[in-house]
Amino acid sequence: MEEYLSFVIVGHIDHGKSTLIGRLLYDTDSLPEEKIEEIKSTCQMLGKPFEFAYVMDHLDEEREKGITIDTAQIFFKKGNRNYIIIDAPGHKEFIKNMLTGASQADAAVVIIDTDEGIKEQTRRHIYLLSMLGIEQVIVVFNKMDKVGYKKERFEEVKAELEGFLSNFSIKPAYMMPISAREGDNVVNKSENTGWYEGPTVIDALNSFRNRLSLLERALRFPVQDIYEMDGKKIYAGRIESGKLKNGDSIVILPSGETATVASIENFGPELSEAEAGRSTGITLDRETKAERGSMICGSGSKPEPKTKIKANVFWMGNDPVKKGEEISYKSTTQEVTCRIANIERKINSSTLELLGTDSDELAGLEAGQVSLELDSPVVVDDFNDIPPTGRFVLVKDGLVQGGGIVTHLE
Amino acid sequence: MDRLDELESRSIYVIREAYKEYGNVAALWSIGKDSTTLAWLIRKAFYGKIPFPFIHIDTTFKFPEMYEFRKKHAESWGVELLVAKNEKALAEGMGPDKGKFECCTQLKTNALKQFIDEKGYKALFLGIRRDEHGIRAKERYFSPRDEDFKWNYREQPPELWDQYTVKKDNATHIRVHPILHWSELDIWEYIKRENIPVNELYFSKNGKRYRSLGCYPCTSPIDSEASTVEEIVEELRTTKVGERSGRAQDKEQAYMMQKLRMLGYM
Amino acid sequence: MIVIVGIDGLEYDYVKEFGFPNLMQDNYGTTDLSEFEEPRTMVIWSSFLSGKNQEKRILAEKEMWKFKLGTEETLFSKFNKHIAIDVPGYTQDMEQHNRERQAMKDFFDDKTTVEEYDKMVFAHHNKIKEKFFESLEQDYDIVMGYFNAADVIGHLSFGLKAKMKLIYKEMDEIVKKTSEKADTMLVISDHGMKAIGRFGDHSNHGFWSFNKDIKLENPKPTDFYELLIKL
Repeated sequence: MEEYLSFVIVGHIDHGKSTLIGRLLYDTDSLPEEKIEEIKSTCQMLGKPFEFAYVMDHLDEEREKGITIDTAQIFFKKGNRNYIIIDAPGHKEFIKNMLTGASQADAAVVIIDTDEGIKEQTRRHIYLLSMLGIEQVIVVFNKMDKVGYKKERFEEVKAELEGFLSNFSIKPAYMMPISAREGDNVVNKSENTGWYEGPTVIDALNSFRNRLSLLERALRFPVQDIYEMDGKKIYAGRIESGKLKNGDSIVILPSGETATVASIENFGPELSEAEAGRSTGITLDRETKAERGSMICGSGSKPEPKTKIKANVFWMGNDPVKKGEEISYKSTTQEVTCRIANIERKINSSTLELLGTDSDELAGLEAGQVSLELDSPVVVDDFNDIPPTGRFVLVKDGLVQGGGIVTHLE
Repeated sequence: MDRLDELESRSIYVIREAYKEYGNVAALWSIGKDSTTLAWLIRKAFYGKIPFPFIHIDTTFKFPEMYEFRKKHAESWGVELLVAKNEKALAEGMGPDKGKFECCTQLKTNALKQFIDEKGYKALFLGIRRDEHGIRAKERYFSPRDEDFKWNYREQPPELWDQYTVKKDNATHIRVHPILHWSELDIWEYIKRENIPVNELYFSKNGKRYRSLGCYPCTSPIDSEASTVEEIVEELRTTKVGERSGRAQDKEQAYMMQKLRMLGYM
Repeated sequence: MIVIVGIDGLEYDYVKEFGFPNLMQDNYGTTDLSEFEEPRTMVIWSSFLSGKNQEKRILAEKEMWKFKLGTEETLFSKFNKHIAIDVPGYTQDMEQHNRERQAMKDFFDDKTTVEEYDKMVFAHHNKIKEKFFESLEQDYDIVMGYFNAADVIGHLSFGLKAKMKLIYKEMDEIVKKTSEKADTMLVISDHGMKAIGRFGDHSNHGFWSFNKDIKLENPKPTDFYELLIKL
């Protein structure tokens, strides 16, 4: 099977996202054949060359028909690498959609109109990307054709962005001047930016890795459900990191019970081991009190479950969440009641301006460094080590309204 | 783990999550390739002992081959099969000749509505994919429907990090879409790998085969010589004609022919 | 030289949306087709040429498409030297027209593809275009060209906006080239189109535009007879 790198393109709707997508498809010859074929042959019959602008007309038409309001997936390939663009809209209302899409991505491309400069939304998007833990980020300074391909203007806007980002230790992997409309530095190197020596967008994407390989990390197997059948008790769930095989000694957290893996249950060919990413089921050599939300770990590395967590949290709900208010913490299948004990600092997620220290509540589109107090202990890891247990959502009134990344394990 | 394993694992995760969350659930089985693949995944998720029923919404206008297939596999899989029909509308003579939109509404949508009201299911599994059709691109894994089966796609909650929406009070039921992220090609490659039984209508007979199966008065076949799963996979890899194009275009085509006749062209 | 560029099926809404400047000229707008029962090509062009509503007369004919106006009935009779290339109801090439109708039938009978259909239409279009530009080089008082690609292709593809934009671009370029030769130029369509899925049906308004400061308020096709004679 082939490898895929999925990435999300974020940016203000007028900064050229759809043109960039069109250009990526066009220059890699990945346009979906059906309707483009008709346009191509019409050009031929009229004796006209097939121009990029016609591709854009077609993509605009698709957009008008409402196909890409939400996250949609666009496939293309270059050489033997396959790519999936998770097209996330830039409109304010659709932040939720952006988060859903971006949270599935391996990488992100942030697009900025070099002529217009950095907009509020751009800042918010970059911040949210870092909140989602996406480290593989390319920032493209688009519409270089509009500013005459001038190095000075590129450097100017780039410096402004770097200044803004330095406050948050966010460092994009690449920053490059492009023109999606004219095709500069997207797939093909441009002659108009002789002063730029870095890679094209496609080369940059090619250097990224897909989904962090969690196979080598410690075992984290959250129990999703328990099935009793044929006298067996099957602990079902998806392995989030590490590997499991028959005979392994495991520990069930937070209770601390130990056991040995008796079998790996698979409906189909017999398996003796299962790895990160696989939905599976196991049986143990003894009875245990494990239930949904219990975390099965290797007896070698035994993380200590916590009730106090420090995290970066962003809030998406229409109503704010107050300090001390009872909400739910959900991470993999672990779900416990909790409350925000303290909001040390909070910022406006787009301007990144400091809104206050020691605040009483967190409102929509605000982000903060908070301390959470949980009513029961959960297994938490450093986000940079094991992402699935290093991030969580906050549920209020039955809906996911916030998300966060663990910054500090006490 | 390869791509199909990843797709499979994610789908099984969604299925198990919905069952755990809602309990009183059912899966819609249209006997087509997508929902049969979904049925297969459900079997895998529950180790062959599926704790909830499959519902077939029967308009009575399905191809006879579909009814045969349904019987054979429901039996061999040990599935509890329930059939939903809008008996009242059928008794009143509802059919495609009364207008396709009207017919679909009565015999499909309303048949389902009545069934759900009666049985009170909290969630339904459906085999919808994002790449099928424009509007489907907006769907979520867990999607609430209100009393009128309406879906407010602008107000959808985010699905962050595989955390799905929990109960919403003013929804009569939640629709769960475990194969949302699969493409048409993925489905056929999985069918090939797993040897999932497939309705013979999908295979070529006399130069034609069905790419998607609806009711026989409203579904037309495409030109194809593909008569095995391998050949279908190959055909899909090289062509990009819209999957549902056999169905929607008939309506428009009929309209155009009539108009052109009126204008004196035909 | 007065030049009439007849573009069958040119849709006002698309011209406006695409914003092609040459098609729009100095003044443009829609034509009023309310007096006709159905926006039929033959009927509207014949009415345009003769300044009289020809609907009843044409519908009474056994074969609508065989109808032809005599020169003395058309506005051309008021000019010295004229040429009208392939205009329906007057000088249209019946063989080509029949070929097009047959191809349309074949398409709906699943006997031919959109690509083959388009190919035939564009081949004819290119021939007519050449003839048209040749005529502009000669010393006629009035020239009328007629292009039906937008309509014929549109019937099967009007719903594909990006494709239609290409065809409108072509028409725009034709008009641009013509403007170099014409003193007065009228771009006119019999009716427009509306999308039915990917197909195109006739819409209930036509399109007109002038390169002179002639402002018209939703004129009828028959109004142009007097207008052109006066010029």
